[in-house]
Amino acid sequence: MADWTSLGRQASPGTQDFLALYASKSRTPAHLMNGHQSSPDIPLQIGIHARSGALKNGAVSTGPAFFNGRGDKVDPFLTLPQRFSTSGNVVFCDRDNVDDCISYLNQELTTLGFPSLYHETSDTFDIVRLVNNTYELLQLQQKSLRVKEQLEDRQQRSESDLSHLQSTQNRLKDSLEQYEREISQSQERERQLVSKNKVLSKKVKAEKEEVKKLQSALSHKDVQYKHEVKKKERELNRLKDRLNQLLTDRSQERRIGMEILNSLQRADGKRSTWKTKTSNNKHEEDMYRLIVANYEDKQRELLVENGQLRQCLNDMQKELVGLLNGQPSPRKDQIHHEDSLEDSEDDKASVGTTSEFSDGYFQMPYEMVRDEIEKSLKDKWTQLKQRVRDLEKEQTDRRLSSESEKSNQEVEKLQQQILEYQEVIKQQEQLIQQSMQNTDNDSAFQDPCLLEEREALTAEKKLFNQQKKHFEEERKNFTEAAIRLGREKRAFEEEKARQLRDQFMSMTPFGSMDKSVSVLGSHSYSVPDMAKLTPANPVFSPLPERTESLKTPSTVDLYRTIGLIHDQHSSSSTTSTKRSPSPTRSRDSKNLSKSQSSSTRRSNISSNGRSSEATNSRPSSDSSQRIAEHVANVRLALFNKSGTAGMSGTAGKSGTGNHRKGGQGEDGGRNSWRKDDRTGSYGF
Amino acid sequence: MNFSEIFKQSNQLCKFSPDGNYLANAVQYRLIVRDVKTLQILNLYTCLDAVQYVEWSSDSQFILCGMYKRGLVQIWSLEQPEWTCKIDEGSAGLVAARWSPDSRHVLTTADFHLRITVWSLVNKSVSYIKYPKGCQKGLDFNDVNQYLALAERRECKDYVSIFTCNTWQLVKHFETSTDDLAGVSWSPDGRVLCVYENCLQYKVLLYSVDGRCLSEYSAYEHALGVKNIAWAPSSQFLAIGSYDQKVRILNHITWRAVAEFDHPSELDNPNVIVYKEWERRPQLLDGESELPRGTLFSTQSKYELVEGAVLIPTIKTDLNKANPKIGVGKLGFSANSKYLYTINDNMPHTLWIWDIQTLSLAFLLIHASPIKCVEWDPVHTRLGLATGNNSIYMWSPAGCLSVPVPTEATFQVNVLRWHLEGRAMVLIGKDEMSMCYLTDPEQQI
Repeated sequence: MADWTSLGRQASPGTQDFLALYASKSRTPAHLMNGHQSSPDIPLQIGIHARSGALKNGAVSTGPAFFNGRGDKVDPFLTLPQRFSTSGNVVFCDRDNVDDCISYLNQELTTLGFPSLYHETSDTFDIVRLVNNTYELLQLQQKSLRVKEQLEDRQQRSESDLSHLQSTQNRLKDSLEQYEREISQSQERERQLVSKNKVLSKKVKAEKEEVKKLQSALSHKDVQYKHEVKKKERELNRLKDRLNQLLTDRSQERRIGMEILNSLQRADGKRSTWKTKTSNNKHEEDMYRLIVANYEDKQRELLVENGQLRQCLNDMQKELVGLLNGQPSPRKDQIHHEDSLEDSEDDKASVGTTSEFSDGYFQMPYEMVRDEIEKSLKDKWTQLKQRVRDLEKEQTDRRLSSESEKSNQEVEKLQQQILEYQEVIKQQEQLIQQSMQNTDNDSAFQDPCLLEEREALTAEKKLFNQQKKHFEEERKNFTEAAIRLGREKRAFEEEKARQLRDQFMSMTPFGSMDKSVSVLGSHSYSVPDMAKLTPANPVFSPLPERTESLKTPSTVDLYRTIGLIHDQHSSSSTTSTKRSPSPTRSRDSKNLSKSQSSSTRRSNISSNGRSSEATNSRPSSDSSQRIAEHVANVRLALFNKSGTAGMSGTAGKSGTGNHRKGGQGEDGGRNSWRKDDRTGSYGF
Repeated sequence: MNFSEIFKQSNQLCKFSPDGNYLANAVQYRLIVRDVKTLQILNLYTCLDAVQYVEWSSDSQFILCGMYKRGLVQIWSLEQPEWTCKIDEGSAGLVAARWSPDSRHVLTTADFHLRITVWSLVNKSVSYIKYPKGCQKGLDFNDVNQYLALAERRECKDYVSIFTCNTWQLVKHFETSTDDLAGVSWSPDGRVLCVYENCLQYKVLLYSVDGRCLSEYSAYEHALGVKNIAWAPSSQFLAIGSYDQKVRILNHITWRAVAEFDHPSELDNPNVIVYKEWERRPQLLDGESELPRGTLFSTQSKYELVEGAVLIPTIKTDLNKANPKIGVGKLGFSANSKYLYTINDNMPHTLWIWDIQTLSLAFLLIHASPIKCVEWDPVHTRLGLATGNNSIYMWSPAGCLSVPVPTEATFQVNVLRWHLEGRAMVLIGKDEMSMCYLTDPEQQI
């Protein structure tokens, strides 16, 4: 506002300048807005200035009016406003003062920069000019009205803006306050925490110091305690010494010492030797000899272990080299189609370089060959890994190949297998021939130049015959076993009777001691003659069902490894024969032995191979399986053949081809595996 | 499985002779020797006072009876019942007596471990060993090579002396690097001497016969350490039970731990077979306040298999008391060194059986009452145990069983001892004993 007035003052010399300025200002509302904070004042100010400007100008311009000097002393400037004010909206001009008015108007207009109403030359009033001027004034008026409207608009807008801004400002102020409050709060909290932290750290420090102090106190106490203990011990020692002295001094006392009827011989019958220097030396020597012997033993053990480990390493190497260098198995060759054949050749080419150390190499000092061996093993492993990966890839490839090809391969494979097995059978048959030296050989074997097919047929036939023979033998065995069982049963009954009698005899006071001694001599603790024994009733909790393998002759480790695989056995456990090995039951086990032995026999056989019963019960559709069974049978027969020499009874009589042990052999077998430490511990 | 009638005994002094033919037991001041097979009394000796200790000589010819209260030892001969020998320590007092392995010398320990006296039965000579250390197991005979290792304390330092047993000459004397030695133990093959520290510190040292330190083992510091040790009969393993409820097994080559067996109070391992004893008590009849005595009415117990997770009964122990009942205090290897049993003292109901071949827990036997005694069969892989009731319990890899002793009177088995050949056991109660004959598995079938 101040500069506005100053501007107004500066512009006072020429109102046109002011107007121009005003116009220019009004044209730039933004500038105006910026320049003046309170826009509502502007029109008023303008009005005032215009008025004051007019006044001043009037004051200035009165001069010419006077100079016009129309004989009228009345100051038009003074009278006119009066008239204007008093007469209200009526008249500024009437007929009387037209000229005055015109001159006044002229004056006014000229001061406002309009052309004069009078002709310059004639100095007469020109109405045209007046009209023009009026028109111009009207224009001006309209223009200023527009400007005014605009300004009012703008002001309103500004006002609303202002109110909005004010509200925003308030809001912001509020939030600011809130934030400030929060800040102060958190600052307070932080301060508290810091103080707490300080307290805590102080505490920790104090605790640490305490701990240190305690530790030092503890160690101090420990030292002190040890010292005290030592002191006490010294005292004790002194006392002991003293006591010892006293005891030795009074050793002549009546009681102390040994009363012995007559002294004994040394256990080895020798006399005791004098204690001499040499004997002492001898003892020391003995001791060192012992130590040396111990070390030698230990070294030997280590040597054996080392050798075994080296051998293991060697074997592993051989395995690996064999695996890597070896010909791919015929099966594999069969399966391979052309692409993979190439692959395998590639493999061979790449693998062919796999080197092998000689056996002696592994006997070299380890530190010397260690790097080499490690490197080679690592190489082999990587090769193997590669191989396995390739195979896996191949397998997936193969899976993708067409079905027909697959079946063809399968057929080929099976044929190959059949051929192999036939070969095996032939060899086995020949072996049997040699071992049995049986006269009733088929003539088919004397002709080696038969076609393979015929050979297969004969083999089948042979197999059939063999099985038939087995059956017959088995039947014979059964009858024999039944007979023997009957005999055994009778024997057992007799024995039982005898035992009962003996027991009865021993209970009488006339029981002969000789008998008991003879019983004891045979280490039978179960029936001591003299003692009144009462049998107990143990409650046996056998191992869970997964210990099915108990019935087969197994070592402890095998058992453990099987026992560890819980799930497999729990699923198959339903088939196992349940048996609670309680002593009460096994005591009269002779009665049970039939069922038990049959069950064990079955398991025994199934452990060795598939029995013929099993073969027959299952229709043998799969020829290869049958062949495999046959091979097992043949093997068994061979085994029995070689075993019959040591076996007595029916097994021996039945001679060749006895694919399973007879009852006698069976019993022997069971006893032998009963000695195994797992099963042997049944006897509670 | 047959049981004999019940005989009287006192102080639980029942011992089989080393040759397995005789059974000696004491009843007050009488010593009775029976034949193991017939249980007939072969000899009866009368001692001067109530017998406190009985020991067979290794040749099974003599029996030593200790009457510590009177400082007396009496020795009886089996072959010559009229032969007498009396050793009197007199005012020196007596705390222990034992045979030397040659059966011709007797070692007596005087009160306060003042001295060990070696009495010769051959030439009546007497020799003294001074400064023996009074500790858990301060003396051990090496049965293989006839050496005696003796812990000594001189000038407040621990020493071990090695004596030859045939002349009682000192062959080696060496200082051990222990603060307070608690025990010495020869390996069964007699090559290594294990020396272990008092429980204040975990320290196990292994020495050769000539006193060279082969190895030193310490599992941890500061806490209470070794509680007990056990050698495997094959000498290939040394098991150390400690107060941290763990067993550590050292190998015999590097003497480093091959396994560390923990005894958790909760177990959920499908590979472990857990047997739990179930007791079935007979119902009380109307008007009965107490069960009638006798076998017929006694509780029946039975092992049952437990599947899934098991919670092992644990007793709370006050760790502020001296010698807290915590940690592995009992452990032993089976005769073939393939199994190890352990008892954690704060789980007294439970027997842990570890498979040494796989170095894992194999069996767990949870009993209704605390285990009183466990012993391996010296021949077979099985063990017998007693829990202080009328039953005995047995375990073998094939299963386990519980047998009530068939007697009319009450008979609570506290201790059991196997016969040398593993076919019989003597069951010892408070004042009575009974023999248990096992049927031989090879003969019964």
